This record gives sequence, C-alpha cells and structure tokens, in this order.
Amino acid sequence: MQGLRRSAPIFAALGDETRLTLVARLGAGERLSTSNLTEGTDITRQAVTKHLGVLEGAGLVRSTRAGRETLWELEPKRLGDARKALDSIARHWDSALDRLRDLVER
Amino acid sequence: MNEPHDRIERQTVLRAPRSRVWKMIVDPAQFGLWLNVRFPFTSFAPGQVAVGVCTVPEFADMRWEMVVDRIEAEHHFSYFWHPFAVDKNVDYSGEEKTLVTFTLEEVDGGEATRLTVVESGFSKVPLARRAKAYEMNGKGWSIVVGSIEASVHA
Repeated sequence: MQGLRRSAPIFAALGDETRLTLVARLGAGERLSTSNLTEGTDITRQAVTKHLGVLEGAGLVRSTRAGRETLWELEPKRLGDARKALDSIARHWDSALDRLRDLVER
Repeated sequence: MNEPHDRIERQTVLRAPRSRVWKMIVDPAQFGLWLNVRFPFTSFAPGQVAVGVCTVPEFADMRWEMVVDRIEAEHHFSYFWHPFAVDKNVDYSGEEKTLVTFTLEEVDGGEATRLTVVESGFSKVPLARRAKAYEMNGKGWSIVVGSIEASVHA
C-alpha cells in the first residue's frame, strides 16, 4: 500500500491528456526527440518540453542529449509500479469481501 | 469526459440473510472484523467522525478515520475516507475523500444477499488521476503498459 503513496506523482503526471499522448507515443519503445514529439500536436514545442519535464520529474521518462536535440524514452519500471498500485486498490476490496464471506457463510 | 475508472465496484452474493450481512456492516465491532479496524465505540451514526485503529499487523496502530455518510436500515451504508492513507508522515487532511457505499439486496427469497460495494471519487485524489489516464485514446491503461513491456522485452 505504500506503493500507492509513492505512485501519486505518477498518476498526477498522467492526469493530463497531452502528457498521456506523449507517453503513448514513447510507448512504442523508440527514442524520440522533442521535435518528433511536437509534430502532430497542436501545442508549441515549449509546451511539449514543459510536459516532458513533468513526466521526467515523476520518473516516467528520461532524457539524453544528442547534439542539439534532446531525446526522450520511457522508464517502463515506473509505469509498472503505477499499475501495481492501482491493482492493489481493487485487491483490497476483493480480500475484504473474502473475509466477509468467511464470516457470514460459516 | 466519461470516467468509469473514477470508481471501483464489486458485487457479490453472500449465502446469508440480509440482516446478518447488515450487522457485519453497521456494527462497528463486526465491521472491524473484515475491514481490519478496531473502533472504541459500539454504534455508527450519520455525520459521525469514526476514528479507529488499524488491525493489520504491518499497519498496526495506524489511525483509521472515516466520516459516516448515510445509514438506511438493511439497505445502504456509506462513508467518506482517505483511501490508503497509510503513511504516517503524510498529512492527508487537505486531500479529497472517496465515498464508499455498501448496498444490500435480498436474493433467493431472502436466503442470500447481494452486496454491492462502490468506492468512488478517485479522480479527485492524487493516487487516481489515472481515471483520465485510463481513458486516453480509447485505449486501456493495461494496453499501454503492455505495449511498453513488449517493446522492452522484445
């Protein structure tokens, strides 16, 4: 359950459509430059850079410099952590209901 | 935006009369048996700030706090709380709470009870900004993660 608290910044970082789109595009596994990621969006490169900064702050993506470009890639482990955190909320209820069943059906 | 992932819903049929299941919810001692909390009082009332102590060993002595919402005999019980507020070093009081509701219906001529548990309001709390995350591009969160994992392990 501690994982949920740790994952809060991840959910906050993902609670935005633009950032989700960026994560989805990086989800193909390829490293993409800020320019690549700005293509096909209706927001400025500056705004994209800012969103990538938020994702990087949450540990969801990492950047490397390649000449004048910044290349971005996903940190898949952090996404896995977030998914586990979400699953654990639902599991809490499943196990509580199992305990209830044991108590009332015996 | 439609946010079905703003909530967790579970439904189960228990082979016990509704009055028995109701007692497990509305009696603080019995509530505590399956929700792992010990309360120092013997009844719930609407509006009550119910404070207890967690009984799960790994979270022993942790404070449990909920605000009782509605109590409708043998039919509906609900409360607000901070889900998984398990870190003693964090002040959760500024965060929105989720609403947990238990709804009971008689089935099989009263021999069994259908219990529906809904916890809603996750989109307002930090841990579940995921509600929107889940919706993105019409894809499920798991699909996104799956594709990431596939690409990493390829």
